[in-house]
Amino acid sequence: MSRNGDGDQLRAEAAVWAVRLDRGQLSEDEAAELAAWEQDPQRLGALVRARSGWLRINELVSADHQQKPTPSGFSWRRAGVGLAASACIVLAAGGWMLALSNIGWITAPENHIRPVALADGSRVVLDTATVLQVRFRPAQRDVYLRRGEAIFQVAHNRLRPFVVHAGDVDVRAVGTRFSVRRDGTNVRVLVAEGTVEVTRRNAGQRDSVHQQLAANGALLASRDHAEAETLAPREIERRFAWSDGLLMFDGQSLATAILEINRYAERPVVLDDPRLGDRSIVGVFKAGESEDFAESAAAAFGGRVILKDSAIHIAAR
Amino acid sequence: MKRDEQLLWFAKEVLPHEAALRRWLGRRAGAFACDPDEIVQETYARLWAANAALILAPRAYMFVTARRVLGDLARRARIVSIETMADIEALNIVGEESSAERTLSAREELAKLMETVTKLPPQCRKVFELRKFEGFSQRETAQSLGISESTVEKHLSKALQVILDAMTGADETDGMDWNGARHVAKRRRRSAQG
Repeated sequence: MSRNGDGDQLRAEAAVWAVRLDRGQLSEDEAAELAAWEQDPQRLGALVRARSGWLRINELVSADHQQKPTPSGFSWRRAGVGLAASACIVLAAGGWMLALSNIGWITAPENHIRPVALADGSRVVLDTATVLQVRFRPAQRDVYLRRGEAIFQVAHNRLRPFVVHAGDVDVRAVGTRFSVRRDGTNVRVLVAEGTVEVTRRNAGQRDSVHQQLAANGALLASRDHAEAETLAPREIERRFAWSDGLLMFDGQSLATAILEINRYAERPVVLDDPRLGDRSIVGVFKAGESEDFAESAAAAFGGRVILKDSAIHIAAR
Repeated sequence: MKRDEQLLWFAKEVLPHEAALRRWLGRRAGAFACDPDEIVQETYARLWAANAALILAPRAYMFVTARRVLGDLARRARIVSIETMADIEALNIVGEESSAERTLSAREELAKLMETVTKLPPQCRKVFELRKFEGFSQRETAQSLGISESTVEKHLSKALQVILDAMTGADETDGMDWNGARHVAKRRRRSAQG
C-alpha cells in the first residue's frame, strides 16, 4: 500500500506514545507534548489503535486462561493459622476460581486478591497485581511466578513435586504451605507449614544455592545474595493474612502500614501530617477498605479524615 | 466511559476486527485512491469520539464508520465520479458481515502473536519478552539487560508496531501499489468475472 513516509512516521510516533503511556505517569512536559500531538485525527486514530494493540497483547497473554468464578467458597484456612471467622466471608465474597487446566496463566488485577483452586487440588492465593503461569506435567508440577506474590497450599504428592520458579530461584515442595514474592530479581520465600527446598540457577548451572527452609523460615534472595532467617509464628501469620483478605499490623509504623493498605485500595490513603508517620499501629483491617483504616488511624492518633474524590487524607486535627 | 475503559473496549471489541476491515477495504480503498491506513486511523478516531458504551454491535458499527470515512474522502476528492459515489453508497455491509470473513479466536490470535515475537530482532525480542511475559517494568527491563530506558522504549515501540501490523493484517498488503486507476480497472475486471 502507499505506506508513504509520513504515515510510517506517524505510526512510529504513535507506538512510542503508547509505550510511554504504558510505562506510567507522563511527565508534565510529555503530557503537554502529547496533548498537542494528538490533535490531528489521523494521529489520534493511530494512537488509539496502538494503545489498544498493547492492551490486546496483555489480554492474550494473561486472559486466555481466566476461568469463571465458582459460587461456593471452601475453607482453605488451616488450624495452624487461626484468624477471625469474618475472614471466611471475605474469601467467599471474592469467590474461588477454578483453574482446572494443567497449562495456563492466572492473574490478579491491581487492587484484587484472587484465590484459585488448581487442577491437582492445590490452592493458590494471588496477591494484588500478580501473574502466574501453571505448567503441570505428569512427573512434576511447575508454577512460574512472573510477578507479584502468591501463597501456595500444596496438595500432597510425593511422586510429583510442586516447584515454584521465581526468576532463577526454584522453590520445591511436596505438601506444605508457603508464599513466594517476586520483585524484579529479588525473591522472598516464607514457609508457614512443612518444608521447602530453595535452589538457584546461576548462568544455567543448576543448584548453585541449595537451602532447606522449614516452617516459620524466611529467605530473601537478591541477584547475588541469599539470606535465611527464622521468624516468630506470629509474624508469619501476619504476613499471610492478606490471603484471607486481611492486613495485620503489629507495631509497624503508620507510614509502612499506609503503603501496604494502598496496595489494595482503589482510593489511596494520604498522610498530610508527616509527624504521624512514625507512630506504630496495631490492628487487623480488611484489604480494600481504606476509609475504615483511615478512620481508625485518625481516631488512634488524634487526627481527622478528609475524604476527597482521588484520595483519603489523614490530617492533623 | 473512562479513557482506560474505552481503551479496553477497543482492545476487545474493535481491534480483533481490524484484519477483516482491512480485507474489506483492500477491495475498495484502492478504487478511490485512498490509503487503507488512513481510513483505519480515521475510523478509530471517529469511534473514539463516539460513546463506546452505547455501541451494541461494534464490528458492524466499525464497518459502517469506515464506509462513511470512504464516502467523505471521496466527496472531498471531488474528482470522483458520481458513479463512484453511488458505488460507495451501495457497499453492502450486511453482506460483508455474513460472508466467510472470520475473526480469529483468542487462541489463534495468541499463536499469531507468539509466532510474530519469534521473528523480532534478537534484542528487540528479549526486551519485549521481559516486559510482557516476565512482567518486568521498563526500568527493570533496562537494568536486567544493562541498556538505557530510552533504548527499551525504542525496542518496545518497534515490537508493538510489528506485532500490531501482524495482528491486524496491515503487513499483508505492504508494498502493493494503490494507484487508483489501476485498481478501478482491476476491480471492474473482477466484478466482470463474478
